[in-house]
Amino acid sequence: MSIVTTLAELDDLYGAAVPASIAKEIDHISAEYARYIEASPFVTLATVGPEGLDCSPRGDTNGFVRIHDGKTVMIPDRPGNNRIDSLRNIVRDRRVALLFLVPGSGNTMRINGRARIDTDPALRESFAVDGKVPRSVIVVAVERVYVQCARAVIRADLWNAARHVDPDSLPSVAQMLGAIAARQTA
Amino acid sequence: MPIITSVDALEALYGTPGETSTAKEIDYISPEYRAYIEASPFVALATAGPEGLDCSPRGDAGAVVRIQDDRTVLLPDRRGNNRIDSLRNIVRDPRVVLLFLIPGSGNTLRLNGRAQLCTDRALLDSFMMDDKAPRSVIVVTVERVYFQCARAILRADLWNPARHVAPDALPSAGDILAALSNGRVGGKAYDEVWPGRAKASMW
Repeated sequence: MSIVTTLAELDDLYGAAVPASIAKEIDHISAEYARYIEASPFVTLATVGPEGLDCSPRGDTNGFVRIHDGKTVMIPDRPGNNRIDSLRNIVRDRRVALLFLVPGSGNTMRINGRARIDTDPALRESFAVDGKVPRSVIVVAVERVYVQCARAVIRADLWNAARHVDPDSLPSVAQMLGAIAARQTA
Repeated sequence: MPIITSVDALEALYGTPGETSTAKEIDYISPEYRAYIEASPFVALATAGPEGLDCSPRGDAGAVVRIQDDRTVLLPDRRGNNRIDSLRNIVRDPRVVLLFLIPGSGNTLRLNGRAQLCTDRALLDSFMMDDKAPRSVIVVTVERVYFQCARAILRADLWNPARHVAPDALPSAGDILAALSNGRVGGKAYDEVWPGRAKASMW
C-alpha cells in the first residue's frame, strides 16, 4: 500500500485550498452564520482526552445551541446515557469542534473553539424545557467559524425522505444487545 | 460561575454510566452494526492535530464507507474544498472517530479507530464514480464500535421533512462571501455558477 505520512506529501497530492474556503473562515459568529446556527436542531460535538477522541450527537429543537454573543455559544447537556465522554474530555482538554446540520439545507456550519462546563443554577434554569433543567451547560469560546460547501450533504442526499430507510429494516436495540451478549457467552 | 474542572466533580454530578451503555461497546463490526454502517450515506469524521480538533462532514451516494473486514473500514476522500484539515490531522495523529447517521433511523453508530491515508492506485480506482477516483482513501482500523441511543435525533426530529427549512430562507454561500469580503467576492454571481461547478466537481 502507498501510505501518505507527511504534510509535504499531502500538499503535493492536493495543492492549495479553494480560496473561498479560506475567505469564509472568521473568528466570530457573523449575522449570516447566526442564521444557520439558529436553524440547526442537531450538532456533532468532537472532543479529545487521554483516552482518545469522541464525537457525540446533540439534538433538540431548532436553535437549542444558544448564541450568547459573537464569540460564545452555549450547549445545554440534555439527558443521555451518562457516559459523559464529551464532558470527561472537556474537563481535561478544552478543545472542541462543532458541526451543525441544518435539515433541508446543503450547507453545514463549523465552529472550532474551547469549552468549559458551567453549572451556574441561573444559567442552567435558563435552558429549562418542560420544567427539566440541564445538569450542566457547555460554554464554547469561539475561535474559528465557517460554512462548509454542500457536496457531502448533496452526495448523501441526506434530506430526501424518499431515500430514508425504514427503521424496522435494521436490527433493533434489543437485537443488537442480544447478539453481543450471545457471542460473549458463546 | 461554578465551572467543573475535574473528572471527580463530573462523576459526583452525573453518576456512572448504565450497564447497557458499556455492554454495547465492542472492538469489531458485528453483523448488526454492519447493517447500520451499510445504510449510512453520511458520517461526521472527527480528527485531532496540533492546530486543534476538526469535525468534517463526509457523504457519498450509497454507503459512505466500505467495510473491508470486521476490523477495517475504508472512507474515500471525495472532492471538497481542499482544506484537507482532516487529512492534515491524520498524518500527524492517527486517532479518528466516525459518527454515522442513518437517515430515517433514530440510532447513530460510533466507530473509534486509527487511520492511515492510502493512495494505492488500485484501491483509489475501486472507488471510481463518474470516471473520477478519490485522491486518497482513509483506511480506519477499528478499535471500538457502539450504537448510540436515539434521544438526540428524536429531540431534533431530524428526519421529518415537515420540519426542514427552505434553503432559500437562509443566507446563500454567495451572500456569506459577499458579506465577509465587503462585496469583493461572492454574491449572486457566485450562487449562479456554484451548482454547475459543484456538479462538475462532485466526485
